Amino acid sequence: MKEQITMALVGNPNSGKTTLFNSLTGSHQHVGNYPGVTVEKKEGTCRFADTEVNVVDLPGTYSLTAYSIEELVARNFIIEEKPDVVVSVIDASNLERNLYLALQVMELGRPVVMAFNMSDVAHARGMEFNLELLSSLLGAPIVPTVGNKSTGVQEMLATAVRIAADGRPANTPDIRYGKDLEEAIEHIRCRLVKTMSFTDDREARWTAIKLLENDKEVAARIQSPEIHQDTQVERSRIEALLGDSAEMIIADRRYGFISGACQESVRSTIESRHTRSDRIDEIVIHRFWGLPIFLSLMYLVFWLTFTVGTPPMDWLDSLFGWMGRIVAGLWPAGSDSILKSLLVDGIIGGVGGVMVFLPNIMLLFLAISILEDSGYMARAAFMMDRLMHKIGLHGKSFIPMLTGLGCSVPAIMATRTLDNQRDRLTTMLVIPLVSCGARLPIYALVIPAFFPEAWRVPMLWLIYVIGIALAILCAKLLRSTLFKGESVPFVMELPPYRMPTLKGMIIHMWERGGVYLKKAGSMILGISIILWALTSFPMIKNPDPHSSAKDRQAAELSHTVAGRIGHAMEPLIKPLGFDWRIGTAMIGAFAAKEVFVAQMGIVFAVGEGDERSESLRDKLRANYSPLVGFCIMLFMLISAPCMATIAVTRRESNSWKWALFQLGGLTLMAYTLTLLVFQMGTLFGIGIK
Amino acid sequence: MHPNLPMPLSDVPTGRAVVLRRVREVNGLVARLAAMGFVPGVMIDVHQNIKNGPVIVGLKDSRVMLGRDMAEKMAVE
Repeated sequence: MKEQITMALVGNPNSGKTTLFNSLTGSHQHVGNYPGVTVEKKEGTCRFADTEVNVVDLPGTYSLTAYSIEELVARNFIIEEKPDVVVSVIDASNLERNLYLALQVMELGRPVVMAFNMSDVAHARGMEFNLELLSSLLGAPIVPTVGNKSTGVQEMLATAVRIAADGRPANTPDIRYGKDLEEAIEHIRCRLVKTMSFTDDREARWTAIKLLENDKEVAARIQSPEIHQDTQVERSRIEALLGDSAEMIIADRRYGFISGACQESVRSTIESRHTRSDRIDEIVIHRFWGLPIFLSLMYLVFWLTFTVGTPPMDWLDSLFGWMGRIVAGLWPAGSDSILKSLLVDGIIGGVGGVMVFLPNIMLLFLAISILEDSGYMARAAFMMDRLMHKIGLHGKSFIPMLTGLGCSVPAIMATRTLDNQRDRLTTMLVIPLVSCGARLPIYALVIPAFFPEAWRVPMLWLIYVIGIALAILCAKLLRSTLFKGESVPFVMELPPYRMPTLKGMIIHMWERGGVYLKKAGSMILGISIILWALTSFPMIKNPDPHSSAKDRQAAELSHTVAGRIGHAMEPLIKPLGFDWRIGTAMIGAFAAKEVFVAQMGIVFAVGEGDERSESLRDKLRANYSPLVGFCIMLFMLISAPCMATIAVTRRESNSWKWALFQLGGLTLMAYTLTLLVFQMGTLFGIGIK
Repeated sequence: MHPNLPMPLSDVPTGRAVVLRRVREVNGLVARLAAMGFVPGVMIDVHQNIKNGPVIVGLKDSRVMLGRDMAEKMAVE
């Protein structure tokens, strides 16, 4: 037996592939990127007997054409990396369409095992399979599995390992494409063998079919102009003879083959897998109830994030406070050690200030995972389609925007699912307006500091709505100016509703929330130290002994680098209601939004010396008006996205132009709007106490 | 309305079942649609078709949402 094998998982979106992957690899997984393209590569390992299995979760696709990057990645991985075994994950309750992909996988000539996933659901729907017969008709072993209960997973693994050791490619199912098509395939195949010296017969046939299907990627690899010419001739001949394009007819024949195989081996007591789902949909996407339900769900998400998140947040807060006191206690009272200040004010104050919000962020990601895993997200896209259409985008753009609530970086990466470049750029550019998780700490700091209990949730809601409204306006603007043009029609599957599994939810939450934690440990730690240094040095050599303690601290702060930068910025930000302290925090926020909170903590702690009795919120309340509080949130909502966002926009749009456009445009807009709000607020005396 | 004359899918009222005849090509989307099962002759149930909104259809064992402009390009009977 081989010591180490590679196993690739392929399957339709929503086939339960990811659940299966999770139950195979558990926590032994990591996410990377395929070289050269921006598609996520998920890998993990598991063991079976003495074999170590390296599992690669290929992107979920419907077919292996060259239509999208995901499909290409999946196909090229199988062709080029030659995994020892390919597991084709099949949603048994949606058999025909899932087998369509499985057939294409088998054509690629690797050993294949079919995992009949969700076989329990299929059984419950009254479907009975003659797996032996189906397996012999299709030419690959079939193992029934239930991914979310781990049933059959070990058997699947055993079969996969055995098939891999065997090394024999799957029998290519004998699909007859009909006389006219077969003639065309044969003609091109012979050409390929003659002019391109194809040795492998199956490969030649596969290439011929792909050429007839008008597969751009395969076509690009064929140098001979005669073959291209022949292909064109055959394609138009078929279209003239059969009245439809060759790719359509090939798809039709494949489906025909599958239907035939299923008719022989599957008995169904006619009950669609969707009955329960359809009943839920009757209410959830109802023409009148749909939108109110959607809005209430969104409200619930924020309510959950805040209400449930508050107690653990308080625990963390007191934990960091306690740590600060313990560390401070190592020095004699009243000493002015620089190291003490670095540890207590810089590191514990800075990183702690950010870490405190981890429960909120985790809960938010948990809520998003539930929406995604349950199948509701696709319905949300449906409901938003009409609205999105008005701004020149379509419902599909809504999902990246919703992900943007968690973090702009994965959201911008999620725009890859949009097929049209104009839609993609528009969505990408406006995503930072959707309040991300890193901005939540700012709101969570500011809102309770200035607003009474009853106002807090509505206030948070308002800030988010402002962001979304601005995103909509900007998208509309972009779509009617820079990215003019017809939108491309879209197609999207509505998966049946499904109970999310605890394991899946936790893994998803952790995948995203972990980024926040890592950031707090690495980047924010570094920035906190730098910001602490900037707010501590240079020190005043001979402080004026006659002034009060408070004045002396203020003088000391102003003397530091950060103080100087802040003061230099002050004329510019004064009209927004911000003082130099907020100015320094804004600079830090460019590195990562949550640094704003850390920096405010540092600025006020450094000024305070030993006492940390007052919380940062009390200090804010003492120093600023609610109007300023609101302006802080507004500015942080709209202004310059963080460095990571700029970097990912640059990467995904493939140009600095769009990244800088995003940076400049958003900052300008933030400035203008905040200026307007602050000046109007002051004029009418709103929120100035 | 003649049930046997081809018409765009976008004109089929909610609750009707139709047979797909042809899909007009848009940006290579036809291949994707074919992979999802939108091949000539397939039965399509119209689940929801409200003015100006996307159309939700059922075909084989799946539910698919089609942008209205896409539904306009599908001829059904």
